[in-house]
Amino acid sequence: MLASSDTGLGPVLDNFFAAVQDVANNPGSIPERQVLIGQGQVLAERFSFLDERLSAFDREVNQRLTDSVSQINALAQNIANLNEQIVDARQTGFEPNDLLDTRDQVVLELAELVGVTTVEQDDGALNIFIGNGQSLVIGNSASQLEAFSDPNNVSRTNVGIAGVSNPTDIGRFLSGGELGAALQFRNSVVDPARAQLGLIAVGVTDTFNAQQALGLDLNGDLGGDFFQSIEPTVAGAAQNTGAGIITASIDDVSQLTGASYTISFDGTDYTITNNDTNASQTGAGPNFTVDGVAISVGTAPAAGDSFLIEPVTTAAGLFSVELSDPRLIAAASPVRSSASIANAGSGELENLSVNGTAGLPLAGTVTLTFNPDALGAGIPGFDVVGIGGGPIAFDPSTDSGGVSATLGDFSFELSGVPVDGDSFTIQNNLDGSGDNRNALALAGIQREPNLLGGTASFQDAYATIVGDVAVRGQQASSLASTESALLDQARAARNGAQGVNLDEEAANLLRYQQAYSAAAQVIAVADEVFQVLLNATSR
Amino acid sequence: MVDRISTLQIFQSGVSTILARQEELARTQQELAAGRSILSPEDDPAGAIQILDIEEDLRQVDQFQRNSNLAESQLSLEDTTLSNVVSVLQRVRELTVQANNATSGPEQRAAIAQEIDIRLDELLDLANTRDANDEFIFAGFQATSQPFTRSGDSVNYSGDDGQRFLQIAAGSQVAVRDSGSRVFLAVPAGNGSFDFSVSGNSGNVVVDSATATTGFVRDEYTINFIQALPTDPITYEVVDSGATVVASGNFQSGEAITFAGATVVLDGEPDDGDSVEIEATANQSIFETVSEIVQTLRSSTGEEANNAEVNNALASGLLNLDQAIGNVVEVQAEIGARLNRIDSQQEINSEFNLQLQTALSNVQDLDYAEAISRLNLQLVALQAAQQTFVQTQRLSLFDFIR
Repeated sequence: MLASSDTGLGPVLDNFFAAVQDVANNPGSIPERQVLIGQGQVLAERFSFLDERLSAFDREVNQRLTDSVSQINALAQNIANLNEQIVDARQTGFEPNDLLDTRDQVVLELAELVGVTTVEQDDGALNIFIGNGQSLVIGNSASQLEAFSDPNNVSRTNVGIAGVSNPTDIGRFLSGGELGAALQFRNSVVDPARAQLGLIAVGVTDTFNAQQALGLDLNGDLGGDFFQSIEPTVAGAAQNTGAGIITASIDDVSQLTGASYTISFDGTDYTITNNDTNASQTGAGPNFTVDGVAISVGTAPAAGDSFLIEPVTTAAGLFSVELSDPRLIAAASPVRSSASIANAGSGELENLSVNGTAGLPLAGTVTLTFNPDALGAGIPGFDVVGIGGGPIAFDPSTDSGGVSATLGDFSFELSGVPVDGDSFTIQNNLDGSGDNRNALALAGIQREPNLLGGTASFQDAYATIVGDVAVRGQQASSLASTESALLDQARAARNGAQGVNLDEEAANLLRYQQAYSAAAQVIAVADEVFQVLLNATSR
Repeated sequence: MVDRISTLQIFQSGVSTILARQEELARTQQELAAGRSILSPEDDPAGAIQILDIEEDLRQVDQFQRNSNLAESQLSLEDTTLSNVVSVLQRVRELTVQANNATSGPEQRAAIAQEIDIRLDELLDLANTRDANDEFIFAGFQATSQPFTRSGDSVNYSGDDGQRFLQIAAGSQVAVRDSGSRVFLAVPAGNGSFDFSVSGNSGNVVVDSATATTGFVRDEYTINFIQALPTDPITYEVVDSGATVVASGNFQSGEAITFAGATVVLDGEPDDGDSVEIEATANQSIFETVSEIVQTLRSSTGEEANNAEVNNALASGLLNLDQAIGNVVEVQAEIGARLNRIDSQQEINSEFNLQLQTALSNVQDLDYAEAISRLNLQLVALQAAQQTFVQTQRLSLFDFIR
């Protein structure tokens, strides 16, 4: 599903950015912009579809856990009962073979549900352990497992020991059987896939919106959000007693790792734990930043309270297009530069780009004038009027090949050989509907490594999901065939030990037949001898 | 290996062998039907990732080819328009040369002025060319407003310096438009370094040629002619804007006067007090150049002093026209270079596309020869498993006990 060209994310993401390129090719035209909004909606639908499928797997796992737990409980009780019967039977001197066989069968069924280890007691009872030493059946008493809702995350089912008021999740200790497989599937396939997909969704939203904000739409305004901003979800644990309010936002998309976090309060300090790595940090707050997520405590909670913060897990389902008016796509750059027609030298000001919108729109024109004494006697450069940051040093004899310069949030390149008095201006890009510079920047987002500490583009991150799931699938396949081969061997051994070989029995039958005939012959001979004796001694 | 085989075991191992062979056969059959060796990502995780990457690259290359085609057509339009501009300017040049001829009188000059004026309007129309999307191609970023408007004898530019770029490859953008200021306004006047003018002279000195070296010192200079007494030889004095004398000497018609990196050759007979102005130039728009010629022609009266003025002005105008033509041709040369770049990028893209298709095929397509021979082998293996199973099942000692 993830890799297919019909249902995968790759082609849809590519089509979206192709539509951005088409807007860059014809920035003043409305139809291309309309198509871009349409492709954005297709992208949102695809994210939603994939997220829904993964959530469905999640729900299926929950169901499996619940079912398996009730089956395990029934089997455990059964084994406990059998243990009691077997111990009683042994005490009266009988070897209860039928009961032993039945118990073996039940243990086999249990092993199909969860990995178990068994230890036989001296009195004949079989003790069953699961996980890393958790006892399930000791003698004639069975513990019960319970499938309960994770207090921090109501949509998640965990497995624990029944009978305690706050059960702990023993899921990470259980392996093997259907239960173990379901847990492993959730932990190593569904959860990471959903987190990475969410990471891509947040990445696209954030970077695209950020670049939109640096551009100018057809109405001459700075661009607004193209996608709806995605906030991390924050949920208080079910047993929280306080009325704390905690909010979270994405500070830096490139730092996100896809993990979710738990923040807990002990009365004085807050501890933030990364739920994937268990790394934690403690502080008094009320503001924290971890892995690109900014967390802030609005109202302090009660001691002992905890909250689950999920920056990306639900993001793919929340991804949607905010913009509906094609005129609001910001294809142009907010400023443009000009060289004065009266310039006599060959100086140039090029590659003007905007890194922030403070100071936009410009209050007035910014003018740079070349002055051989701009920075003092004999030190050439450009005097700057209209914005702080000048004068800018520029020496035509060494810098004519090009130097970068910044003024406020603008950066540009100065080159060539200007003469005294040559000037350049930077001004608001009024009526610049033919400008496609911001559209080119929006299109460039596709290939930039925006995620995972600046190492992965959206396509790279998606390929990682597909690769991970594929590797898991491959591992599962090869594990299945290995286990299958082992099962065959075990069966062969068992059959070899206890199975009947008909030819062997036929041969034995012949042997016993012959022995019987031989014995019968001995009796016949004995009878004859006795008859002779009787005849000999009778008158 | 167990040393005792039960009957059940014989049966089970026979069956599981048959099942295994059937599974392999089914897999091969699926591969043949799909024509793919990778049916799902878990068959080859590294290959699956490769396929995703290659497919993304293919889609991008496709987009780049579309972008380059669009770029080509836009640049072709600009090129054609500029060729027309050059033709018009050359016609104006012809007319100017004709008008500069000594035999042209005021009436002829007025008629020529009229035709050149019409050419000016033609240039204006060309400068306001629109493309297929109804955008003005020489307006910079303000592509929906007409960039050049004429009022009286002057033409105003309301566009800007903006240039549009299109993405033709991952790291490569090409300009598809040039601003009106680049093409029509940023034209150096005169000989590129300085221009000359003559007015208010009573003599008939004309500028024959004016050249500058790179060492030309930018300033305003005046060549003054002095003849204290009618019997004195005519001398000249060149002063700069600070009234410093930079050159002087006896005036000889047809001889070069050099100063501050400039060389001027003057013909004719100046009177005492006549002067020639030399001014370091900035830029002058093409429209201004043509318009000036029209005005010069219209100011022709036929008098000798006026003729000298007109001749000087037309000579200066011709220099300006050459600059204008040179500027437009320079832009055309840039367009030519860009078109070449687009061409070679399209070839590279096309080549890349082929490579990607090949790589994709190598990763995911089936080797039919290998698969079919594998299929045959598996068929034989399955048959053997089935036949041997049936035969060994039949054997039983009981058959031989009477």
